Amino acid sequence: MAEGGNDAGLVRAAQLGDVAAFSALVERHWRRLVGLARSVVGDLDAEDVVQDTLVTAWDRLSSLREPAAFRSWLMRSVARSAVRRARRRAWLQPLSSLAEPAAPVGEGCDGAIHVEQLLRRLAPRQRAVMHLTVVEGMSDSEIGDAMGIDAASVRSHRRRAREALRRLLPGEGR
Amino acid sequence: MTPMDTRRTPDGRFDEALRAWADRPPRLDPIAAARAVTSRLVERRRPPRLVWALATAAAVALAAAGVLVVRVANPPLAPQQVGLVLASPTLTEGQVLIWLDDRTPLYMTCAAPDAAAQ
Repeated sequence: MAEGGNDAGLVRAAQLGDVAAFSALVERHWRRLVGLARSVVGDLDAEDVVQDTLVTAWDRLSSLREPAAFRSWLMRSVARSAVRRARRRAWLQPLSSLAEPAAPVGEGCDGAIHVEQLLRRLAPRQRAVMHLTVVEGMSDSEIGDAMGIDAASVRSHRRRAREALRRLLPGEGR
Repeated sequence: MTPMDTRRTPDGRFDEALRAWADRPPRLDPIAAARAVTSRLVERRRPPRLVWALATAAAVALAAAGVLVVRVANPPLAPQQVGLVLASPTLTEGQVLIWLDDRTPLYMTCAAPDAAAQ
């Protein structure tokens, strides 16, 4: 199914108060939104963040002037909520957990990459940029729009994320 | 660089792992998630009748308790007391009136020690 293709009709109905239409939209976008939230806040909080964002989105639905842009509007909301939640969590994290590890993180003895562990080493915005680039295949301007920053900042976040990941995950030619 | 080579670089390996990791199914499947979200919406929409009923009952009980406390602390004067109070002279500064019983007023005058010596 072309996600977002038939959103406009459902969005218009939902804007008129049709909960069933909104439910259909949630069903359609749930998995993708959880994927984004998961990259930013981790497995534990991702679904809560998305549910909370969807409830807020229902309240703000009337402010969406272009129903066809529902998907990117929702991605933007989830990206922002997830980044906020991740920052709050970072404040609550014990200092000991922020210390640099003695051994490289993110790669097990078997060569498997521990994605969540690696993402946790990045700033919340960098995580979102990496997800939207790699998983969603969005352009810099689309990502910038989704995150409320300009395309140059998107590139800068991605460059810094890549540098950090290369440090943490040496290549096979090391 | 061939696709195989790309996967061997740290960037390529991470991207591949990230895609696979992000693609795992969520704990809640989409139908259950939609149900959970809409039930939250419906819950918020429903007029909270029980909450309002409880709040009203609590407010009434609080008001009744308040009235009771005030009545116990300041019992209304008996009719004969009212007559006596009305008939008694106005108290001047330093005078205290204590009712020993319904019919027996006790007037006391308070003054500083040096004033009493004069």
